[in-house]
Amino acid sequence: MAKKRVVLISFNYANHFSLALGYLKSYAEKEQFILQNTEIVIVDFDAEMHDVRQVVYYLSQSKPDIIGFSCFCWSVNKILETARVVKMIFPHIKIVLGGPEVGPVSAKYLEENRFVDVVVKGEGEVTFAELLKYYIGRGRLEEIKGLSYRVDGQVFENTDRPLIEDLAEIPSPYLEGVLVPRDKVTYLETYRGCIFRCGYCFEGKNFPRPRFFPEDRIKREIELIMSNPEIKSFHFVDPIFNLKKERLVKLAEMLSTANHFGTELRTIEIIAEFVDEETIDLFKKANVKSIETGPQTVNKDTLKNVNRYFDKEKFEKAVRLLEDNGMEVLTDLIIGLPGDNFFKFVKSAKTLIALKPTTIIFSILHVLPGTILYEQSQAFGLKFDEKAPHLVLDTPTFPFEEIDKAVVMAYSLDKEYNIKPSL
Amino acid sequence: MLQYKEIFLGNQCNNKCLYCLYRQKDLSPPDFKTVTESLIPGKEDGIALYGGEPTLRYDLVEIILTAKKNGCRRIKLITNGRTLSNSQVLQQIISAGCNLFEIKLWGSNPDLHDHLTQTPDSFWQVIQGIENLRQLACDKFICLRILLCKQNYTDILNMITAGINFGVHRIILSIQDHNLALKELIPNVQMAIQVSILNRIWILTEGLPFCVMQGLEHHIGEIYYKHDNAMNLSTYKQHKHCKNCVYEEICPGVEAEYFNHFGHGEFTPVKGSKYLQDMRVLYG
Repeated sequence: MAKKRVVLISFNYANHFSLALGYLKSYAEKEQFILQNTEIVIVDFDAEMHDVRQVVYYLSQSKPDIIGFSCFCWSVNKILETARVVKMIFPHIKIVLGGPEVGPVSAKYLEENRFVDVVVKGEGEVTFAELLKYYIGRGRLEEIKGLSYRVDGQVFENTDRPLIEDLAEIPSPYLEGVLVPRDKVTYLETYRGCIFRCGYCFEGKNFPRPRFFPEDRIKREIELIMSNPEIKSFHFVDPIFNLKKERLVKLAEMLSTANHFGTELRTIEIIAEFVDEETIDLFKKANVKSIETGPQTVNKDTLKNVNRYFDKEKFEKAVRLLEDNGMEVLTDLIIGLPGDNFFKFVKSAKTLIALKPTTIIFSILHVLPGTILYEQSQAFGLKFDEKAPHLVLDTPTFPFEEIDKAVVMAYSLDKEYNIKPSL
Repeated sequence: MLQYKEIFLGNQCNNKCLYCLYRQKDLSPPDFKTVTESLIPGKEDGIALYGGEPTLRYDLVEIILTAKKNGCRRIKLITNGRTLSNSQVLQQIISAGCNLFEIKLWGSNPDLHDHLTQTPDSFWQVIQGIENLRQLACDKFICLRILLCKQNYTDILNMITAGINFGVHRIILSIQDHNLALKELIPNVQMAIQVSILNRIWILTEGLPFCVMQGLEHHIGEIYYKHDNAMNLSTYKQHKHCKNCVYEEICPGVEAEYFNHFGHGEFTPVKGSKYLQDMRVLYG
């Protein structure tokens, strides 16, 4: 039997590559049956530079049997357009979608897009591997947990798949040579899940219990990345880098020991309120140069509505400690959270400005499938665009025209506050 | 919303604007030492240099360099824009560390602008200055300060259009003439705000009482900014009827002279506002 060609595609910004697709390939290829009967290729397209026709041209040349798309709110529209055109030209190609944008609403995507064959729900590694086995002759589609699919025009949704208990089952895409670390765009993941349940976020609701990758594997990944002098900086994709002090101690030690070329850690996400003097020492030891944190809003009612923890005093102290120790602090604000209004948003901006973080990042609320806000949108009276990227349109306290004005104001403020030095 | 320490660099100017606050005043420029001593190292996150016309200071670049050296992150120049038409001077200012500009405009055409500045060619120099700024590859923030009076308020949309075409990052509509009836001005201001927002440019007003801005409260500059000297609100006052207005605590009122010209008939105390509580929090 000829090997099935499998192309895994993502659209990324700023030269990034998909860690998720690396996991899919490295997990699937663990199994000899899949390794012997498939050829899996990962292709990262640029979300801005590459258009649909370019992707279709690539596919016309690579002639895959199966295409797996990694779908996020920023990429799904282009993916659907690509898949639609591909299916028109090559109807035999199986179109498989996965990722946080489609998983929570898999049946909807199948019903609205007849060219999609399968949607993988939730964590994809095991489900996608089982799907590949089915395509090369083993197993039954209806028995694969975590899958929705179409048969003879009809949509079926299988039961959800439990989370992978032991993340050690997933081989490291870096250590396996599936992904090659590159400067500035390499992400490492040391755990999955979040202890918080922020209403706008996918992670905590869907992966409520933190599950950790083995420490020795993380150590080897760090050593691999830091052994390359061309890699000046990299990131961690962990939802909260400073989740637990004892883990941070170990990570800082690993990073410090492996760091022979002054490699920096940039834009790691942290909870500012957990930062103390000891954390700062550990960050310095790990050579952290910039961090990103909330608070998204500072207004009590809004924070309560979105289950967001914010302690102004601790937050302020953290910003000072981090900046005084030479680390850049990127803070985030979201426009359009339930309970906020135009002037409450301005108050949040004003509060942050007074704290003098290095950067304030303004964004508009995305009511993402699979989040608490998505599920409770009616209760909150949230109107949002059903089409990705699911921008909030109107709330009982924040009517559309005021959201729009806040966005225009934020653009101006962003330009003024975050101005880059001319020297 | 960003607060700048306002630093007066003297009232020397190369325009003779009809509505200039400083034209008749003898305000001798502070010397370099006085200016730079006011820049306490590590204290000021942002400063705004204003005049007169600050670009006429021979030591402007030195002042900017000193501010930068003292840790000042944002240095803003409030200027009539004419000097920026000299691209070499502009480059020096930028290289020294100043990349935020607030540029004053009196009209969308040379006849009107030059008449109000009482300076031939000043319009084209401002336009050239903004164009020079626009063409620089460095990061910069450009705010267009549109100065309003009875001679130019009907030109407001043309000036807004100029700002849109220049891709400015903010527009401020600043009232300079207290002989201009607000009932005539306000419809133009309302239209200007709509056009500006439609074109994705944030726009604020300066010097307008809150009661005439109902429904457009988001654009009242005084809610966001506390001015020290650059904006002279010290001569503003409220009418006795303003005591019945929900905005009484936070509205600066109007220029005292205005009541002498037009009385108080245009001002109706605002009985209630859904924004009041949140606005108070900001203003406080």
